[in-house]
Order: sequence, then C-alpha cells, then structure tokens
Amino acid sequence: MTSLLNIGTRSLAAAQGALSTISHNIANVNTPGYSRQEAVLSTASGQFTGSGFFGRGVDLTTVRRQYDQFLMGAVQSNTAQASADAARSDAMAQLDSLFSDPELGIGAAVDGLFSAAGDLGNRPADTSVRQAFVARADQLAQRVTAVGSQLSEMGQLADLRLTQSVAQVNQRLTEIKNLNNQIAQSQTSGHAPNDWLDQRDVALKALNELIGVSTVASSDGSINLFGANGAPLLVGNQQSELQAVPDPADASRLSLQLKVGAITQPLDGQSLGGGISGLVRFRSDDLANAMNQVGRLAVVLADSFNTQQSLGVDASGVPGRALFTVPQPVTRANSANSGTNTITATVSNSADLQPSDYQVDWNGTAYTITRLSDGHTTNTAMVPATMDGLTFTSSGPIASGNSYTIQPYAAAAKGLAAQPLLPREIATGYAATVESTATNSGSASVRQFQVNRQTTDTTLPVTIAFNNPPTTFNVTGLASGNLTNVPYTPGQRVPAAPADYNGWSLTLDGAAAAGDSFVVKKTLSPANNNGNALALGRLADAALVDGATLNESYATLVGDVGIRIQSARDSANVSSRLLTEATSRQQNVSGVNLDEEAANLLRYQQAYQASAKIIQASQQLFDTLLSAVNR
Amino acid sequence: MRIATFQSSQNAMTGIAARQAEQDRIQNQLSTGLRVNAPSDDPVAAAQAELARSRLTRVAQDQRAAQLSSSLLTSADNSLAQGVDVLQGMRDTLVAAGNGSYSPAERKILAEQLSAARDRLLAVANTRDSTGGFVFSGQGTADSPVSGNSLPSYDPVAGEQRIGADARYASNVDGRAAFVALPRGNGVFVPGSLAANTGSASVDAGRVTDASLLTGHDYQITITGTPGSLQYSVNDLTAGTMLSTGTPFASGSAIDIEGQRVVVTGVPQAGDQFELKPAGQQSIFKTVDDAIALLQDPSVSPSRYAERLQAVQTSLDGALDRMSFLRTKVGEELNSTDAAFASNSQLALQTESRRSDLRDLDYAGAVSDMQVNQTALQAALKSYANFARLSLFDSLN
Repeated sequence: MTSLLNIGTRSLAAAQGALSTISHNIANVNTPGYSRQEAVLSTASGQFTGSGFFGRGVDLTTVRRQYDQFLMGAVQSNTAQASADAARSDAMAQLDSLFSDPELGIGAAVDGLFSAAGDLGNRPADTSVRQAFVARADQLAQRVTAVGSQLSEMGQLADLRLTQSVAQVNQRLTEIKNLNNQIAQSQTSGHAPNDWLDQRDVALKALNELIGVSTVASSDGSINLFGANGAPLLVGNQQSELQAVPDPADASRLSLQLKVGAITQPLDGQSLGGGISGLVRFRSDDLANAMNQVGRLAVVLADSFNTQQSLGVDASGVPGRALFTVPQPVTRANSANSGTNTITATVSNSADLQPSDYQVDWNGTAYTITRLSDGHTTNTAMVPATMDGLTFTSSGPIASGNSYTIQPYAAAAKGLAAQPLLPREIATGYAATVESTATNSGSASVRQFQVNRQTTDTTLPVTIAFNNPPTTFNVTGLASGNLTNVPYTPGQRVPAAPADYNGWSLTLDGAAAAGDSFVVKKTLSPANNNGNALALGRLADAALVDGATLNESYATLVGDVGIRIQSARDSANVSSRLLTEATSRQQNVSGVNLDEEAANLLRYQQAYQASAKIIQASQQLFDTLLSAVNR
Repeated sequence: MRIATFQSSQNAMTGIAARQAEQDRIQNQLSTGLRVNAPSDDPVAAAQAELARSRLTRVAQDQRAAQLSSSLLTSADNSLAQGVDVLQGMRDTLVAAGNGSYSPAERKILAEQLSAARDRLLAVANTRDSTGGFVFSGQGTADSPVSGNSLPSYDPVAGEQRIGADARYASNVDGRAAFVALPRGNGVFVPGSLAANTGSASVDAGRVTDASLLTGHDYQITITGTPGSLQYSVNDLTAGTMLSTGTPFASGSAIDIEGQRVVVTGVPQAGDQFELKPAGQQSIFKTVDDAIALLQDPSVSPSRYAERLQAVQTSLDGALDRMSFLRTKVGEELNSTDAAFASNSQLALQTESRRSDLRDLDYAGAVSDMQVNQTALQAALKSYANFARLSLFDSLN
C-alpha cells in the first residue's frame, strides 16, 4: 500500500520535473546558444519479496542537455573562419567606394593634367593655359593625397578596432575562466551544470569571433584554450593577456603579442584566425598594397614630370623647376636595433619601382634586402645596393643583427604636393631648336627633336652637315668634339639610342643632298616654343611605371582592388554559408522544436494526471481498508 | 530529422535577407544605369573601362589640337591667298613697266604702286592668327616674325610648329620659305651684262636645259670680233678654263653653257661681257626693292632696263610659285588634319561604345532579373509566413 503511494508520489515528481524541463525549453526557444534539456527517467529497481520483484516506480536521474561536442566544435571553428572573412570583407567595402567613381579618380586627374599639357603644346605662350596646367597639377596632387590619406585613415581605424578586439578577447578569456571554475565546482555534485555549459559555449563562440581558439577539455569539466600555433591563452587558472603594442619593426602600426605570466611572445596577427586576423590581413596586406600602389604612382608622377620640367626651359629660358614634391622613403628601425646609424633608401630609377615595402637586415657579413610583398630577397655584402629602382645606403657602420623596414611610398601617397609655380615657370620649350639651312636642296627633314637628359654640355650651335655623297654627315660644335662621317640612315634616331649629342637627339628622315645641313641653335623665344610641352604630353603614353603608363598603372590598381574585394566577399559568403550549415546541424540536435515540446507537454501532463490518479487510488484503497476495520 | 524552431526562422530570414540584398543591388544598377558601380562588381571591366575613359579624354584632347590646327591653317591659307594676290598685283605692275613707251614719271608711279604693294606684303607676312600668334611664326616667336623696314629679315627659327599628341598637326607656316629664302632668278643661275658694256645687247633670265651638267661655277661670255662678224668665247671663271672660243654670235640665238641656256639679244660691241653666276637666294622684299630702284632710276639704258626688269620678274615668279606651293602644302595639311579629326571622331565613338559595353547595364536583362528575384522573394516571404504560423500549441486547449 505504501509502495503504491510511493510510486505515485515519485511518478508525480518525475512528471513534474519533466514538465519543468519542458517549460525551460519552451522559455529558451529563442535563446542563442541554448541546448535543449531533457529529464532523464529511469525505472527504480524492484523490491524483492516472496512473490518476486515489485517495481518501485520511476526515478528522475538527472537533467541532460542534448549536445554533440563535434557539431559544436564545427560551429566554433567555422565561426572563427567566417568572422575572419567577414571582418576583411567589411573593411574592404570602404576601399570599394574609394575607387568607384571613375570621374573622381586619380586616373581622371592624371588625364586632366595631360589635357592641360596638350593645351600647353597647342598654345605655349598663353598665360591662361600655363595657369591651367599648374592648377591641374595641384588638382592631381590633391586627388592622390586624398586617396592616400583615406587609405591611411582606414589603417588607423583598423588599428583602433584591433585594440578594441584585443580588450574583448581578454574579457572573454576572463569570462570563460570564471565559468570554468563554476563548472568545475558544480561538477562535483555529479550532475552537469547545463546552463553554465551553454553559457561557456556562447562565450567561446564570441571569443572565436575575435580570435580562433582550440579547446582541450580537462577532467574537472573546465576547458583549456590555445590560440594559433599552440599559444596558451587559458591553461587551468593561468590566463594569458593578449596585447596590442607598437610593431617593433614599424612603430607606426600595432602588432599583437601574448603575455604569458612574465614572458611576452609576439604573435602573427594574420594567422590568429577570427575577426582580428581579418583586420590584420586587411591592414597589412590589402590596404598596404593599395597604399603602395598609390604611393608609387605619386613617386613616378613626381619624378617623371619634374624630370621633364628640368629638360625644358621656362618662359625666361632657364631650366624648369620641379612641379611636384614628394616625401622621401621612410625608414623604420626595429626597436631591438643598437646604434644610431641607419639605412635609407632613395629612388634611383622610378621606372623600376615595385609597390612594396622592404626589409633590410645586416647579419655582420651580408645585407639581406627583402621585398615584403612577395618575400623575394637579395643578398649583398655592402651598400649602397640597388633593388627595384631603389638605392639603399647606410649612414655608417651598422650593428650586426639590426633590421630596418623601408616604406618607400606610404609617405608619398599622403604627401604628394604640387609646387605653386608661376605660369611663366612652366617649361614649355626646349633650350635649343633645330633649323634646316635655307639652301638645303634635298628632301631630308627633322622629324623629331628631343632633349633626353640634363647636361652641362650645352654648346650651341651644333651643325649636322651632309657630305658628298650624302650617306654620311659631320657633326660640328659638340662639347665632346666634332664627329666626321657618321653614317646616315633615313628615319633613324641620331645618334642611335641611348647615346645623345649634348643631351639631345633627333630623327632625320628623307633623302639628303650633298651639302645640306641642319643647325641646332639656341631657341630665340622659349615662351613660344612648344618642344617640351609636347614632351610633357608624350609622358601620357610613356612606360613610366614598371612597363605601364600612368593610366594603365591606375587601372591596374582599380582592377587589383576590385579583385581583392570580390575575392574577400566571395570567401566571406562561402564561410558564412558553411557556418550557417554547421549551425543548422548543431541546432538540429540541440535546438528547441516547439511542436516537440508541445507533444512532450501533453505527454507529461497526462503522466502527471495518471500519477495523481495512483495517489487517489492509494487513498481509496486505504479508505476501504479503514472502513473494513472500523466496524 | 528534428528542426530547431529558432534555427528554422533564422534560416528563413537569412534567405529573405539575401533576396532583398539582391533586389537592392539590381535596383541600384537600374537607377545608375551602370552594371559596374564599384570595382568589385567586375574588376576586369572596371579596369578596362578606366582605360577607355582615359583614352576618351586623350582623343578629346587630340581633337582640340586638330580643331585648333584646322582653324590656324585656315587663317594661314587666307594669308597665303592674300600674299598670292599681292604678288600677282606686283607682277602686273612689272609687266606694265615693260612698256617701253613709259616716261620716267610714269615709271615712278609704278614704283609707288610697287612700294604700296610691298607694305601690304609685309603686313601679310606679319599677319596674326586666330589665337593671337603669328601665321608665319616658324618655330615660335613672340614678336612680328618679319621685322625691319629697309630690308625685312625673318627673325624666328625657321620651320613650323606642330601640335597634337604625335605632333602630327601643323599650326603655322614657315615664313622663311614664304618670304625670305626664295630662289633668285631662275633659281639656278643669274645672267647679267657687265656695267662696262658699251653695246646695246641684253641677256635674258636664262634657263636650265640639262640639270645633270650643272656645276655651280661662275661663267663669262666675252664678245669678240668686229661688227658684222661678231664672235663669242665662254670662260669658266671658277675652274679657270676656256670652254669655247670664236663661236659666231647671232642676236637672239641660244648660248648653251654646261646645261645652262642664255639668249643675248641686241647689238653688242666687241669686248662686251656677260656673266652667269649661281643664283643663291633672295628675299622677296629685296626683289621688290630692286624693282622699285630700277623704276626710279631714269639713267638706265633701255637694254639694261629690259634685262634687269626680266631678272626681277623671274625672281617674282619664283616667289609666286613658292607661295602657291605653300598654299598647296597648307591645303594638304588641312586635309590630313580633317581626316585625322574624322578618324578621331570614329575612334571616340568606338571607345565610347566599348566603355559602354564594359560598364553599362543591359536594362532588359536587369529588369528580367529583378522580376525573377521579386517572385522568389515573394514566395520566400509567403511560405515562411504560412510555415511559421503552424504550431501544435494551436491545437492544444
């Protein structure tokens, strides 16, 4: 009889427990990270009597959460990947808008300057045309620096977000450490603290959004966390601290390090996983690449226009002053360097420049110059050494083991400036002009006269006189001495490239007659001469940037940025889809299904009612017995 | 399979959000009319379109140069036409001056006419073009290219200035070729009688009969013999050799000397001499000055007057030829400029169409995409709304 009551009460309690578990599930249907719980029932073992074993009803053994460690693991690692891709893709979207309007791009400003140069060629003496050229140069410089500054701002913003992310990582680590302790303590009760476990998974997921971690469980239910390459983030109660500190190789930006106890170790941000690695990749790779390409464009632009200016003469007949100024390459000494001597780089050949930063290391016997964009290295026993159009020099003996980062373009992209030249200071003309002698009877003519380099050998006039027969000519008046019987090939440059006469060369074409001559003489009215203006215009088609024209180089940059953004977006899409799938699979096991809960509710409600009936039956049995005795 | 309620609604929302993003993208394309709104939409097309845009500005700049050249050459052609008119007028004056019956006073009036024409010619030489420069500015000058009044000289560096991307358009005319470096006489040699001659014979302007025999030497024809049986000898002064002696002289018959033919007319005296000198070059202004001086000098004998008038006329004809030649040349340049302009327009059109192919939106395609996507979005919304409404709880009471 008592057993009937016992069974009834137990059953009532079990049904009630199950119902409360179901209510908990229903209540948490929309809680992220919640794992469905279930009351685990088991038959209470039977009691032996002479008539055999009598069941004793049901026991509610524990409350279990529906959980699959491997599915959760997939969600965690996919979260790290998806966050890394999303962080990069989101950051890159800003770049997209920077290069999206062709009419407001650097390319359009370059064209504007070349159009102005074309007008200079048309009307060299016109002051308003000269003024327009100066204005266009200024516009171009501003356009370039606007892009450069925005890129630089994006870098600073990325660094700021990096600092915030690092703080969040440390917070999450503390949170997990605390949860670990709580879980370990309650583990001693023999029951799993389901809700704390869920909370820890949520915290772990949040941590994975910032930085990829791997977990190793310990027997007490706590987990140890390791970062990329096994960096210990949380081992037992020992919590490491992630720090964002100025990069030793380049103090202008942040790098990451891990403080484990008293020891700090540098971390490679790009391999960390999570949002942080996406940010670092954006800043150190995508942004740096765009910055270097813009900066290289600025350096080449300044160098080629300044050189061409210097080859011509302005309205007063003196060589043109520089049109642009551009900051020199910047050297960042590694913070571990000793000594004050340093390595500097200067641009020696702007046509060879590559859009990359460089690292120079000295090990006591050899310099290693590394192109950071692709890791290509050159070893040299001594400096000055030249690589990619840059000449590296040292200010004095360098201590062994020193390392320097050279940023040739970062400053240039932000610092290109047009000089406020007066209109008459634009070098539209050449200092010399070639004139055919009036009495020439042949049909030979000068096709192109151009100044190739600046030289102090500027003796004028220089006469090119054809001999009889006119298959050769003599050159008189050259600073380097007269030449006789130079062979004449119609249509060929005189002298053949790369040689020149007093810095200039010309192309003679047509049939010369014996005695014909051409005289290179001083330009009488430099303001009206358009020789150098045409040469300025020809820069548009010159292969100035590593085999490409300025416009082609800019178009390459636009294409490159586009491809990077596209691929970042694509991989973000792929990894977010993978994350969605992993989450779906995990949720299909652990998530709450309301219909299921409704069915279970019904089921346990019925069980509860039935259990109550058992108690009622037991009561009636007891009453029947009592009335039988009470007679 | 169990489906978690929360996840199922999340998934549905993700799908709907993706459709909406696609809708937004197409909407943006339709509103800008561009398929490529940012480099990432189609990186290759964006880069190519950037180059096409650059080419378009370059072509437009070249068109400006071509237009300017066309305008400048047109004014050059006008100036040359004026020059031809002036020279033609001078030639008419000189033909009139050949009238032997004119008195010195009448010749003086002709000289005045020539002098006025000379001023007009000088004005033509210093004509300004439509941009404020000079038509005959050679390789660039700030001041009038032909200066000086007594004997104008050409100051700029001779030649012509060219403009445009490949310097393929001419923007002016070489004033030296038009006015200064002109062939004197027939362009090869200049015959003339010596001042000491006593007879009344004159020599014509001569012409070249065989260019291959030309030497560029100085020659002298000396009349010998007695009246009635005059003879002549020819001497190569440069080489110092006697080429022929004792040839019978006949008035008006040709004398051939190493590819050069001159005709001596009239009655020479024994001992009279005629020279043949290399022509060299002479400014048109010098020629006109010579003509004016001749017309103003009453002391010149009729035979010498005729001889010098003919020499001046020949030089003037040379100048006229040269100016007509330059006009033809300017015409040719104008033609090639116009052709370049036309081909540039064609190129601009092609580039524009290429740029459009690269980045412009195919409206029909986009609208159809939009409709397909809209249908899908509607279906997703409706099915989710219906599915989410189903719950077992509705059936419990």
